[in-house]
Amino acid sequence: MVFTSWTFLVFLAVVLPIYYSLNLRAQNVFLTLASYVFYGWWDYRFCGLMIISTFLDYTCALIIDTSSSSRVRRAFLTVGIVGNLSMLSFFKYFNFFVDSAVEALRFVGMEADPPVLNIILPVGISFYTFQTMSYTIDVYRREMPACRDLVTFFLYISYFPQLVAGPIERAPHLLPQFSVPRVVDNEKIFSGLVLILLGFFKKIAIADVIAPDVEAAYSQTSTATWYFLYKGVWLFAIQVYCDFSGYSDIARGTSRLLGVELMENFNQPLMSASITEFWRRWHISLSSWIRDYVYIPLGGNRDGVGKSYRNLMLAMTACGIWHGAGWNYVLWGALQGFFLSVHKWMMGGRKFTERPLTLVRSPRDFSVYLFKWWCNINLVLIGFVFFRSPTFHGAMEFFEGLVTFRGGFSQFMVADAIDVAWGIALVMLLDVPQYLTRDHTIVLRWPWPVQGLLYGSMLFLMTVMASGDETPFVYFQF
Amino acid sequence: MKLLLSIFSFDTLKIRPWVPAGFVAGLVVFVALEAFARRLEREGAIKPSTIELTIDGYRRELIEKKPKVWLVGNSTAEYGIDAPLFSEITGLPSVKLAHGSATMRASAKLLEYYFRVAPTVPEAVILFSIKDDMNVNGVFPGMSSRYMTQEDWSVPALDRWLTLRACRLSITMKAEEWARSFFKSLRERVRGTEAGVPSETTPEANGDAPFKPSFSTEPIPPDHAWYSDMSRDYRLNVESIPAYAKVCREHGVKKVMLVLMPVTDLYANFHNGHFPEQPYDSLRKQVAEICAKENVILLDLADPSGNYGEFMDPYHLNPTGQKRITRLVAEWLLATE
Repeated sequence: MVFTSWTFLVFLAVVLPIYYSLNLRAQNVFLTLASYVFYGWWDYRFCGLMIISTFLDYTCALIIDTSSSSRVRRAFLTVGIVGNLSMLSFFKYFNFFVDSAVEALRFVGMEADPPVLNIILPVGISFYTFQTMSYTIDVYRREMPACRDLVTFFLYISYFPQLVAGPIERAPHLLPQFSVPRVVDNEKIFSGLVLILLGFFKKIAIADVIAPDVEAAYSQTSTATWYFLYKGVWLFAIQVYCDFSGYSDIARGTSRLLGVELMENFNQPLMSASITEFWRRWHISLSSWIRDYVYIPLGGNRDGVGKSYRNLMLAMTACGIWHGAGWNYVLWGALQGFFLSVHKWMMGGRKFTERPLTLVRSPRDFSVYLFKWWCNINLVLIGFVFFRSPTFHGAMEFFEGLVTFRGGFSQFMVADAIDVAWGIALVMLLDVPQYLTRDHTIVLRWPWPVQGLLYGSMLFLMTVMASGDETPFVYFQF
Repeated sequence: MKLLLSIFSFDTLKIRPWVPAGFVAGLVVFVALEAFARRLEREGAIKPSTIELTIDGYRRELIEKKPKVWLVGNSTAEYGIDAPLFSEITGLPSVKLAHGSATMRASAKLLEYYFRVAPTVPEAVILFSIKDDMNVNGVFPGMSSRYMTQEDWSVPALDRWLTLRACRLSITMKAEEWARSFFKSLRERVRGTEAGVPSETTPEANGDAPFKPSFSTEPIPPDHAWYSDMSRDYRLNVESIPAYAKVCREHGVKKVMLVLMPVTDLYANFHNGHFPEQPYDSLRKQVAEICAKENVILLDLADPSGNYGEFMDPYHLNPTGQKRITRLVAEWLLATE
């Protein structure tokens, strides 16, 4: 069931009162069952896979924690990681590997007759396998003891607010919250509701509304004019940001109603003034996972400049592969690694520190920020062309159209520019206050008439813009 | 029982019976905006967009007239077919409907919409086309996307009380129309009237008086905007006719028909100059083969014509041409009874 659906609202309306009336142990059992109902709503068969993954990591972590032999510990760490990656590889990447192998053989003049498998990609598999792996690795690193309580562990993996599209939680942050009594007070209720409203607004009134224009641009890459394509890539950036961060807001808001705090996943990334800053603000749970479990184990920046660039490239390519079974994602990830490496080189060995807009003190500073922002946002947009294009050829056609200014200015439509301006304005309305105050629920501190105007307008715009169809979140496909 | 009761505890929720003033104000603002919007809509103060009005117009015609023949096409049908004359000759009520202007995806979506809102199924659907409508890479993709966007939200919106989006579209389209007319007049003052561009006034048919075409009969320059706008990367979309036939047959239409509209030799030569490997006549042949395979009744009027007296530009008919072609198509329909 999708968050932005009546089904989910009914589900929540049933779950919350029952949850509030139970003791801690019963709450954990009930939440686990509710989470499996939530997940099984897509397809009950997906639950079996998640149960297998849960048992696998529960067992491996227990053995790792209780064993003193480094060989045994390493062996079960390997079993845990290989088991999860195998599941992920099969369901997500099998057809991609087969197709790529066939193409490679064809390139050298050999024909192959590969097996054809119709594999359904279980929703959220990329998220929960990473979550279980991080738990096993943390136990191996002795950063936390293994969880002995099976119910609590089941809940940690299946917890419905963050199950299908993140944030990818870390065990030291989430697990302890399931072991202590939760308290839900007025502050949590109202801040949770505000987060849910913001998430709904971003999804319904922004992301879903601009989706058809994005589809139109990316389906006509060989003929559309340059400004139509440029509009398409801008709107896609807004769409994927609002869709994904909207989901995260709803997840955090819902979780807050349950008394559980989830990590922030987006910190106004479209306002970043450098690619390094962008990746500290975009999909934070994934980028920090890649940093802690791929980049640092590879050596990070400890083994010299050359190796740190290599490790960045590898880590970000892995990030790209995580996003999807396609060479366009691999290319996107590698491109991000390249951009990050270049920025690192430009920093000249200095440690990166953010210089947010709040530190701007003069018009000159602001101009510098704007210039950096403009350069960075266009780098991000370049990456998004690969991310969204269904094929590499389509991405190249897209760039060709942009670079050659296809169509000139003869049919330039003011409406196209206004569509982009409208999307940017709505995003800025929400993001700028959050960015300046570093508080996602800053609206709660505004004067009540301003709050009223904002909430009422958002509700109104949502009812006007809603299409009536249940459109899934973009990141469900990962 | 004790065990069952032991699972209950009411210690989680610790709230005071109080709602922030901002939340209450939000609800009040929402209700007020709703009421205000309904009032505006009842008074007709918010005008729908041009596209919404157009498509709403088609919807009303389908409901009011319950036509037996749908005449579906873009500007070539708009100028080339006289629907009242057609109805008079055939004795069958008919309406003209837009087909989405560009990619087949837009056309099929619009056809689906028409079938959804029409209270009766037509006996015949006639699609009027030129070769550019069947370019797999689409033509005027911006216009096509507007039709698709319109279709996606227009069905509930037309029945709903307000579309703020229509208001925004009205404002942006007015701004766009102003900007385009300004730049167009500026361009014309600088460069003069372009080859093949129709003049401001369409000439009236004038009995036996010799007709002078209002457009240049010189060959169309190869770098004319029609190349980038309409013919770029031309490839005949062989899926377009089957897709169109499928939509019609799924909704119970007995006669699925296609008319390839007349064009001038200037237009055909313009195409041949850019695409010598797929000459204009070979496209007509391909269309005929696909129609035979898909059981679509074809009337090919697309012989490149040197009779410029029937045209107002290289591929749009003028009123003289319109009368003749309407009569021809009507008699052809009757002959296929």
